[in-house]
Amino acid sequence: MNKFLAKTIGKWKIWTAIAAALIVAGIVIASVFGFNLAPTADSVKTLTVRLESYASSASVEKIESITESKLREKGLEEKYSVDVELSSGKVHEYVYTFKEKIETKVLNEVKENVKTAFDAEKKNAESPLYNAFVYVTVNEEVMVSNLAKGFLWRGILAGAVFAVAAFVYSAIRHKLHGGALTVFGTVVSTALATALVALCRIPVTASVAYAFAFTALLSAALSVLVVTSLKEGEKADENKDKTKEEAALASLPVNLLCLFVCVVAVALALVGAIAVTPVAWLAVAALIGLVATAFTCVILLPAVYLPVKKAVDKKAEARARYDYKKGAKKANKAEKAEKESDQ
Amino acid sequence: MLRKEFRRHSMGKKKSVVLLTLITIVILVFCAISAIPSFPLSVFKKDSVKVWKPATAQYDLDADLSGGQYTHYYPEGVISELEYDAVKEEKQAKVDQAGLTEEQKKEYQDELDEYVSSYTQHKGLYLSTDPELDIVKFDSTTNEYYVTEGFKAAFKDTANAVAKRFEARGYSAYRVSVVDDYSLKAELPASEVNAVTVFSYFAYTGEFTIASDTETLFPSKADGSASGYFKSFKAKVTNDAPYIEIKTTKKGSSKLKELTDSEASVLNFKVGENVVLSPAPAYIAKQSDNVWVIGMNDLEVAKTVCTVLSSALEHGDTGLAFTKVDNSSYGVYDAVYGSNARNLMFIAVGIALLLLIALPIVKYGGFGVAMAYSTLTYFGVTAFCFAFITEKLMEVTAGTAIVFLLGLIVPLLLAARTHAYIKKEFSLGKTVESSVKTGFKKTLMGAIDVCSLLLLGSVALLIGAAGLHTLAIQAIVCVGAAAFCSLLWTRVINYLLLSAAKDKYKYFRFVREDDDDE
Repeated sequence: MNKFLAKTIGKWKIWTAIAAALIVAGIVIASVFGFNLAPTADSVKTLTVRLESYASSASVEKIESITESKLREKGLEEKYSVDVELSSGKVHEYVYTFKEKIETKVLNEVKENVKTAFDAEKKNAESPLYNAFVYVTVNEEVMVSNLAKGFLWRGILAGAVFAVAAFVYSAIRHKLHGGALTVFGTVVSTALATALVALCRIPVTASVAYAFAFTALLSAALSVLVVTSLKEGEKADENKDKTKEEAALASLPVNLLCLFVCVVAVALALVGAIAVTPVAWLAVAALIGLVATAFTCVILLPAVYLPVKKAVDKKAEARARYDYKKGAKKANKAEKAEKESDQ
Repeated sequence: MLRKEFRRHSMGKKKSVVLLTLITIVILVFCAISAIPSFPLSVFKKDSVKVWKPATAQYDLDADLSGGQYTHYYPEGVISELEYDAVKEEKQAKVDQAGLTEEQKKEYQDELDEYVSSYTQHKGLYLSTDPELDIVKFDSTTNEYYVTEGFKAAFKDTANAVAKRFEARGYSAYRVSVVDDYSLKAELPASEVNAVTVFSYFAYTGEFTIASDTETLFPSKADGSASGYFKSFKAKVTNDAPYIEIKTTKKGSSKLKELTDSEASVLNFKVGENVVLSPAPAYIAKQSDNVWVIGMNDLEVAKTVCTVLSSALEHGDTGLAFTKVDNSSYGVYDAVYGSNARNLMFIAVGIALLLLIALPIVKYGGFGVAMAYSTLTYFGVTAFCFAFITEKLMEVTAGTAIVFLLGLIVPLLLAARTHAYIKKEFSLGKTVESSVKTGFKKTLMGAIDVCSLLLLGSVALLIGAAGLHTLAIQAIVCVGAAAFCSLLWTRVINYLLLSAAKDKYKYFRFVREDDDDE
């Protein structure tokens, strides 16, 4: 890993360009095609079968088998992504929800076929649907609202407030450039995660905001950890004889970060694999956020840190040259430290 | 004091073991209360009808995990194809029944024909052809019915007003959709206990009025629009007592004063023809110049009432009424993969939890055991907080699982970093005690940085609306527990385990140099 990092650490332009290109591509795709809205957040067509009689397991099975066979006849067996059973007291409903664009005409043909099959069953004395009240309809649902008032702008405002707070805190702890780098890591990770969700066409619901919040929190924590480690690495005695790149490499807890990312990835994959479909897509979005965070914190941030630090040092040096008080203080400090080390 | 004790290693092995045993028991009890699945208590006591429920079973779940509730809003004169077919089939059955006289058969046939001709199909809906309702008109050139522009516009305005009510109510998960152009479908999570009230109140359309039992008191023709008198309705709580705060204009305040001083026994706050609030005048109190309050029994109902009243104030009469929504006109649906959704989610998180307990023990030995204690403590604390402290504030969503994982893994990351520092110090030739002390000291500020940033982020998320706000509360609980585990608990457990350990080198899996020589 360190060998790989040794190759990446000096090339901040390439990594910044890659991150920027991905973010721009995401913005373009999102603005042209929008996000890929999940069935619950988008407009859908449904085929509803209602049983207004006692629903025995035999009648339920019969309804399912007839409807699904008619859907199969029209080649729609893979097209309905959600199969929800609804019931309210007297009635028992099956709603077959179609996400893909299917012509209403085709669904109406299915409806007529299902109706004809049910009519035959209703007259068959040996059928579990004998004399049952079964009705079929096709509907088009156009989603008009599923986000609470101010959900988007308040989410963005929360992100902005967090960025400012993270900057202030990190700047106090690790100087201005430390604060800027922490915010850079956080913002780039979150933007990358958003862009990748748009590019990979991950089905989006309102809960994808949770994945972005997770990415922002995780990337802020890891960014500040990386900045702390790089800062400590500069001061460490064992890195005194090393170049800045070597010192940065030695101080980065790369293995630890990679282990951490792998463990989180396994945990998210578990949640995604075992849990229900909407949660699985949320886990995938969070996994994308994790990948974006890993890229930013392990590759991009250390690569950007060195030129930023170089520029900051250069500026400080120039300032010290003209600031005699500070320059003298610094010289005194260096002299003291030298004396102490000699003793 | 405790730290000094540890530093001097005056805590003997016996004391450490006793303390560790006590801590283990407490943690295990917490975890058991949180995670042991439900079972009937008749297993222990024959006559008992009670059922044991773990803390995790107390959570309110969102629609993805627990399913939801839904209703359809049909404008007057619009019915679904399912309803149309059911009534038609019923009428057809009457016609087809055996033993009817010709006269009866003709009567039933006429009834059926009249029913059929009184509706025209539009997609999955049937629209009334009654000219009084002005929904459709007959075009003699095309020989077809067409929907009037007036109905189209009224439906659009009403759908917009209803959707805004759900938006304003701030649900973390809900969905309002237009079905077949002229009906609405609204969905809420199963955890919403007042769903029937919400569904029926949100169907009310019309002007906001105040009336006594016999007549409309406000607004009269001279008063003009109600929006000139009332500014807002908000649900609030003081000392656990929910109430509705009404902000009025100056003339609104004097109008309300006039109404409360009137002889009416009750003041009905109405939306269209529907009463949403009916306090006696004595229960409407003036709080300040232009602020009035009405006490309520339930905050959630108060919020629903306020949303409907504010909406009626903003949108006025949209010119369309929905058929009544009551207990019989709403349905429930299971979570996408049935009632197992919650269990599947818990199983997934449980496996992740076990993995994160086992992995550090395998990798770090004795120090990994300290990390496992920390993980179990984190689980117990968050499970309890979610179930009992923040119970009424939030519902568990898929985001909760992710935030829980974040809080779970952060202490492990920070502990692993500490272990790396301890190892580094040890490799410089220091004793185990000194290495531990220096390792923890050197990583303290980094751990504080991480926890502080996570806490800042969680607090900033409180600005978010609905689900994000809920997630923020959960994140604060998780990050708080994670910070406690990282900054304090892992250290305490490590000192106890280290004090109790026979071989401190083995505890950290360190190898002594003299061992190497051998």
